[in-house]
Amino acid sequence: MAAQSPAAPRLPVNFSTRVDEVSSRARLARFIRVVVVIAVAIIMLIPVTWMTLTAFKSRPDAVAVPPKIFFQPTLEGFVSLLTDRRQLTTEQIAEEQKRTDLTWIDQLALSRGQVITGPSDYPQRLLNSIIVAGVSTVFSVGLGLLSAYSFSRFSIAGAGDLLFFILSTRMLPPVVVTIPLFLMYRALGIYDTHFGLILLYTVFNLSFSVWLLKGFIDEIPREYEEAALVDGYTRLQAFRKIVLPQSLTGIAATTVFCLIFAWNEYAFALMLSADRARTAPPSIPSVLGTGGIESAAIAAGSLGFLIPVVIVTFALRKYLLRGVTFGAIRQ
Amino acid sequence: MATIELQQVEKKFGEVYAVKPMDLTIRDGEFLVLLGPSGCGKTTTLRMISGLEAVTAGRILLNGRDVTWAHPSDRDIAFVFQFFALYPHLSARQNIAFPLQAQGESRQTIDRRIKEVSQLLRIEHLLHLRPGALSGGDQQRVALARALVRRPAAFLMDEPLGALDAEFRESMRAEIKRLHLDQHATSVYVTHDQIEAMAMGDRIVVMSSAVVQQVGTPAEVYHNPRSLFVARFIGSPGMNLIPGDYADGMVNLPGGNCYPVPPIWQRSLHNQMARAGRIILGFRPEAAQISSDGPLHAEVYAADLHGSYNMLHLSLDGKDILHARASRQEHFPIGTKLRFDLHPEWVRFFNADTELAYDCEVAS
Repeated sequence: MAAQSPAAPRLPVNFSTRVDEVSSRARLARFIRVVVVIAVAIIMLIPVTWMTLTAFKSRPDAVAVPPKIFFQPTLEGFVSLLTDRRQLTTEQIAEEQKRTDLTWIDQLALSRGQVITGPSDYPQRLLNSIIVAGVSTVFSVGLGLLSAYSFSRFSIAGAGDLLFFILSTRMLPPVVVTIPLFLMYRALGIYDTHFGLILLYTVFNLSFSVWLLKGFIDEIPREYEEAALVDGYTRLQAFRKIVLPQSLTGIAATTVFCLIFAWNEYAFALMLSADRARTAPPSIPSVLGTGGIESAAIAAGSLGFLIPVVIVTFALRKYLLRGVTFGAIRQ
Repeated sequence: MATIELQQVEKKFGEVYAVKPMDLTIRDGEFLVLLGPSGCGKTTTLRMISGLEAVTAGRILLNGRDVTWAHPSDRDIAFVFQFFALYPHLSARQNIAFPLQAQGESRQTIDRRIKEVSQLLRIEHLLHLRPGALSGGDQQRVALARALVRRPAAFLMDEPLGALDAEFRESMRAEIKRLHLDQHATSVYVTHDQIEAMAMGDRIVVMSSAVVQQVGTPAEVYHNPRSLFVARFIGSPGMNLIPGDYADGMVNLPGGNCYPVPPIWQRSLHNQMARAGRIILGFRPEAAQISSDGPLHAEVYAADLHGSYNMLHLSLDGKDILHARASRQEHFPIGTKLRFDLHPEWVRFFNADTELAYDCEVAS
């Protein structure tokens, strides 16, 4: 760090460096980096792009061989996703077509020989996903933060063993315990409840969040809290005013990871929920239309499913990218 | 503002002593320096006074009030950390305001006090910056401001200059000393730098291996070190210490040297030395006086010009090196044989077994 007293006048800048001339090798390296980044981005984006395209395809277009890149976009997929429909006979179709009070949605269904009988349960499933993933993430990050802080700052008898125990809950393949859990959940009466899934996801994510957050909190020098303690704050206040703001990066990263896990979880949701608490992942593939796979509807459902996570991650990107502490303690 | 009293305070980590039971009274308005090599327990002592470290046994009194088990925030003590510990997510102003907010001061009071203290430390133009944007010295000023702003009963400083560049350390040293003289606040300052300790301390507590070796003014610990450790640790270079044999008012030294014990020492040495035996002779480099009829002879091993004086490295028997100060004008080529005497009032004697200093009734 510059050892310059504020009283000393700063030297005038009497030199300059040309920045417009970059060596050709540096330019080549830069070019290669850009190409690699673009290539990786394309590879990553192809499935998402394809899914988005499929969501707007009509049924024949979605399964066309060779795949169609240019097609007539339609909202058929979204209509199938958000409605329950009944197949009509030829006479019924003819009868329906005479009606004049049909909305464009009804007409879209009718064009495929169907009549809408009511809204689908997709919005409810999505809402369940938001409740279960959101609440379990809040709990696993909150509890994880408190435990991580305790493990990091206090001398706890058997801390190493405890941490290993916490980690060991992740060592078993989850599918192994689905049947026992199913039986237990039924016996406890928490089968197919939000509470049951929230509990499970919280416990599952807790090991992860404790370990991840402990790493972040270990990085925060103790002196900050000690300074706050002698400055007249209690430990809890010091935690809130000093540790919390500085571990925002870690909290954001942990939140995103926990949320994505809880959001995407399929196997447990399939086994432990049926109707009331069923989340989106096991329900999207079940939108299998009558007589054939509704690829467009599934793609549309996946697209809607993607959006909340993208929003959260985007909202937290500022913290994800920022350094933990920028050099107030010299090491 | 405050006296701090440590009564038989000790700290153990497991079975290991970090601080062996110590008694210490820090007077009101005093600048006390805890000095010692790293790992000697000086920082632990400071942290026990602050309450950041719990004592294993003993009592700590602040203005007569027992604060041994009081929370750090209830002690009204400010702590300046070696690495400043400025909150990186707050601006300099918010950092300084932080302890005042804990006390629930009004906005006007906070603004006024920040203004006062930032004028005092000349950091008014930096208040909007975050610590990361400040130089080391300015970070230290902000840290000092944060300590000063709440007008605590006492200041504790843990090597506050340790993280600064050498050229800067000296000016900050003077600044802290001036602040102390202005504020006249009881201060405890930890350092491993004996020059810093000598320059700043009203009194110095020399510690090593968890034990207080000596408590005294800088002059006392310099001139009358109580043990060989203090004699070596204080001064650069430290005190010359030559092992010898005492017999009948004479000390036989390596290289066939024979030093007659000065008259002021004769009676006390005679009383304290049971019989003839091993003894350690000690003297500061400036106690040596080069003179052709001196009782000691040595060979010049090296000579460095230290600007205002020459530091001679002398060898009595080709092995141990002594340091002696000679005036700048005198020139001694390497290998010169010379004779010197010791200023009789500046000679010290140490027990070779206990490593403690012998008392001299007259000199001390």
